[in-house]
Amino acid sequence: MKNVKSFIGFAFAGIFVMSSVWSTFGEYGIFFSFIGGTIIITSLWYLNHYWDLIHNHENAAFVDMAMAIGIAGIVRDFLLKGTHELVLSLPTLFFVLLGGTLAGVTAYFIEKYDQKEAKK
Amino acid sequence: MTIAQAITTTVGAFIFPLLVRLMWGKMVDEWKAFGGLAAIILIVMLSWSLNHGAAVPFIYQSGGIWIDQANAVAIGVFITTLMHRQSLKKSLPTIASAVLAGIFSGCILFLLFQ
Repeated sequence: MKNVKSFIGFAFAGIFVMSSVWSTFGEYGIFFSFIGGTIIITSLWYLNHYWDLIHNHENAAFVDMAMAIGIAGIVRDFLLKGTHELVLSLPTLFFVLLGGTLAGVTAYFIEKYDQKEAKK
Repeated sequence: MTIAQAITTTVGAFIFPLLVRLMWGKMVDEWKAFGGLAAIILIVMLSWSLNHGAAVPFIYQSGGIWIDQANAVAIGVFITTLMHRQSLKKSLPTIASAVLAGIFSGCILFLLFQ
């Protein structure tokens, strides 16, 4: 049941963010894009992570709703545009994942350093 | 994709998860749910402007498949918590839900946009 709840939360995130809601707001310029994005993400974050519709088990590595959002965007465009475009997009995917990984490692070392300093 | 584009893409994808990891938790501790709202405006939307929304975005899309900055934050926070010795095994069911839900919503959106 916990995983069914998580599935529903993740699916909400993927469908809302990758639908055309955000870009339709964006037709009026970046300011409205900003507003639209804030409404969508805040609603989903409150539901999924503050109210915990997505169940992250205790002491388990944290799975963010962003995972479902990223995959939803890739699957959507893959089904719409096919394998050729997927291959063309692989470099971007690689460097985005590389940047994310580097940030994760950096954040760990910063947090560890801060914990050490706090103990002193 | 040129080397310059590869570098800006990496840098853009680096900034977002780092800000999330360093700021989000503290904002929620201080201001509860409104901290989440603040974090979304000040981190997610700001990074979105930088990476996707700006006239010259940091994340260069080399093909027609939309590679969102969400991919970066998903792997970033996951790796940080993994390095804090949180269990990979216990998070596998949640990852499975995320992947299945991602594929599911991708299919639904395909039906919408086809």
